Amino acid sequence: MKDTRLIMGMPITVEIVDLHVENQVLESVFNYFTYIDEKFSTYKETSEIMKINRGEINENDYSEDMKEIFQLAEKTKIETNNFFNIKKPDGSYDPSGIVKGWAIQKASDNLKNNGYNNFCLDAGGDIQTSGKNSKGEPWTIGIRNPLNTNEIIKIINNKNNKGIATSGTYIRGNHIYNPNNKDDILSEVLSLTVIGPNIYEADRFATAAFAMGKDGIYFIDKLVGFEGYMIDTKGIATMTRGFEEYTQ
Amino acid sequence: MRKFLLSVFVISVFGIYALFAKSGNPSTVVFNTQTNSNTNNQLNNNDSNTLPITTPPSTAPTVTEAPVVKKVKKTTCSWKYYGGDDEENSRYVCTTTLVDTTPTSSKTTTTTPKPTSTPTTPKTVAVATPPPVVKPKSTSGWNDGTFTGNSIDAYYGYVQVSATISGGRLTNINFLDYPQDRSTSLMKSQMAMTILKSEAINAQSSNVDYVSGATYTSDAFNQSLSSALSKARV
Repeated sequence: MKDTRLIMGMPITVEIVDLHVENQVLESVFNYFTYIDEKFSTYKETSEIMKINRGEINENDYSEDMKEIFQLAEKTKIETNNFFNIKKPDGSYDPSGIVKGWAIQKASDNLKNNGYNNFCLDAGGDIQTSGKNSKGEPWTIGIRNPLNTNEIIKIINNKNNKGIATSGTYIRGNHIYNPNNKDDILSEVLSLTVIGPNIYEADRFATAAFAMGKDGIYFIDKLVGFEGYMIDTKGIATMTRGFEEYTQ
Repeated sequence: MRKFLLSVFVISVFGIYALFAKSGNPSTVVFNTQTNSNTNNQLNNNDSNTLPITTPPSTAPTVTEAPVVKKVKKTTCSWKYYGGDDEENSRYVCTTTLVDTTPTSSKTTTTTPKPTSTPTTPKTVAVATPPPVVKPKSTSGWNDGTFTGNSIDAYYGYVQVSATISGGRLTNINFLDYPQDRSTSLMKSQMAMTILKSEAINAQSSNVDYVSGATYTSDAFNQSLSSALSKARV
């Protein structure tokens, strides 16, 4: 059973291949993402994070989810040498760089706790798989070509059900042409895909490492349990030392 | 064992690199050196942002010292590249020449238009490298001018662009807003020289269950741009 909804400004796909799946199960996963969006969206005036940013809630009165996100953000900030920071220069908080992967992780844990073992959750290209796909084979995940979004340029055989997240922006990919010379493409990172122990880990480190520019892939390379595939504007990919073990 | 083999590999590659470097042929080993050309790029883009297509810029000083006689004002504009690797050496230069009837007295003024960047337009994209094409009338179905697209939620922030049409062609896209939650400072000193494998990306079979990629921002970009372009339609 599979369905896609637009939540948090991105397509979210839930696919459960276990037998005897009720439609209601998919619905509850989507409801969870809607709940997360309403709590953490910085574009909704009524969200808890916006109330915090307006000084309407005391730190002691944060919801449990909010407290957890703030703790995890602080942990990530330290682990990435302050590269990851939910506090913006104006003093307000924007936890969107960590909430997505964390929410996918929670939804995945929930499904497992309810006895589902074979499924895939995809929120805007950040993916957590479990078990096997509908053919009874390991889930396969393609990496999108940031220079041609219709194309897949790498296939990850996700037999160990790692979390896979990609950071990147189209914008970075397009202001890099030298207007004086069309052939002169300046070195920039277009996208960075990270394979991590789970989607929460993959997403937060993909976000932080992407912000490091060309150094990001070296940062991932040094992290135990993580692999990465970085694509620059020249269409050259650089991979961590263990990445190819996941493409066999 | 794997780590040991890796270390041996890394050390030997370094050795080979050293040898090549000595023999004056370092290009066979590619290091991922950090070249942060954002600033230059932006300067340059700003220049392209102010492309005067057919007329001299209004900031061009008028020449007053020119002698009395009949004079004809001629302006030519082009990209000038002053050499070197630095993009900043490129400028869009307009030369105004006053030619009078007596061939001996002509006066030339060269002006480089200053980028008129506003704080709300931090990024500029030059979509094409437009040679100054003079088209009297738009026959392309696009009105000349700058058109602002809708602001689209891209989850990590909003994306909003404006499109500039000149001579019936899309010549420029400005980012009025884009996701900026990520820090831009760099952590160069932390990074040791490890050599990582590189390859040219290559299209694969699309027979996969799911696809990982950052597409949400590009969707927002496309939406904003198409709404800008719809406003430019004749």
